[in-house]
Amino acid sequence: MRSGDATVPKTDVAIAAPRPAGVRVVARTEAHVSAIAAAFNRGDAAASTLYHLPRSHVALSAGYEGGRRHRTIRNFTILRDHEVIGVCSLLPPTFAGVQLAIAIFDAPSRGRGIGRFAVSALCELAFDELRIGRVELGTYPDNHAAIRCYEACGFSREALLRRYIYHDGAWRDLLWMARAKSDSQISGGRR
Amino acid sequence: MKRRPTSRALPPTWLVGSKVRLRAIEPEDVPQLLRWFNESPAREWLMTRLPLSRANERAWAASAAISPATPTFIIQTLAGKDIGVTGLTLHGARAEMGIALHESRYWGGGYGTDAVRTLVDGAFRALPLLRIELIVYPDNKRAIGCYEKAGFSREGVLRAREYRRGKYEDVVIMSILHEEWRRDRAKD
Repeated sequence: MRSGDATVPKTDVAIAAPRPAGVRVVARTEAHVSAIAAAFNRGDAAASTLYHLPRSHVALSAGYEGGRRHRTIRNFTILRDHEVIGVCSLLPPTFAGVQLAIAIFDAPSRGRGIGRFAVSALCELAFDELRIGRVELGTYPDNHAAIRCYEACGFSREALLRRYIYHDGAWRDLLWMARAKSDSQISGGRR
Repeated sequence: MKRRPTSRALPPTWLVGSKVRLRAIEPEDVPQLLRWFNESPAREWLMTRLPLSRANERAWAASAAISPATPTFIIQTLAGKDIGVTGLTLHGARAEMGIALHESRYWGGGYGTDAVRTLVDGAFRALPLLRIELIVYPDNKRAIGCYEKAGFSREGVLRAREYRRGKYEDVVIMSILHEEWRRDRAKD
């Protein structure tokens, strides 16, 4: 699914990690919704992100619109050459600071630094523009690729939350990670 | 089964069984829902009795498509023909299931059973439910057989629970528990 040029905001989120060719993180617009709905409803990212029953286009659209209105949720779309390849968001925290969520739909696009780029960009947004001192996230303990990515971006492991999240028919453990603004000097931060 | 040429791709969903796929309901489905609910031969077994107006149906579809408490799906053949509706009403760890296979040409072909199985499997995978339950008229033998094949057990009879054909009628209540689903899943 492609989005027209007109829908792409003028400025990208500021970057801290190397930008993979053609990849941008932009504010989410209505034009991205069908591609995102399709990816979630197909279950492309279900193994590593949240499991949802397929949702309607109108429901997703309304959800994103609600987030925009209340300014508590900042939704972004990860594009490569105008193609939607993933999503990322800054959400209200579970514990403190701001919570980051990310999913890259397209399997061949994983492991190419796209996640690292998007995570760094959102951290930079949180620290430098939103003036929030802490970014936190949860990930499945067996999602080694994601954990490597977060560690490269300066996140450290804080806790193993036991039986914390319902996923694929059972309550699973969740690895909780965070990066504080004062960690910014380590790898993944500004160089 | 007639395979109809589809120029457009089918709406994406991971709820795919061996005979049917369940896709999210959208407001654009209203005209078809209206025709189904007012004309389909499955109407005899539905718990909604009066014909529905367009406004009524539009409001229902709009809320079904949006409300997280009522995940609702159109049942499609794998080739993309819409043949019915199914969904859940969530009450915490308990969910009520409903299904209507409106296109009677597809009755008796295993489509209903596959739709029930696919919905139950998806629901237990995605939602922390302890049980999924449903009610059915005792004379709807075809449906009861289908639910049993899909792993539901009869729990009992609710007396005078539904008003149909001018009188209150008993209904059978059936359910499947998370542990039963997990046991069946491990066997597969």
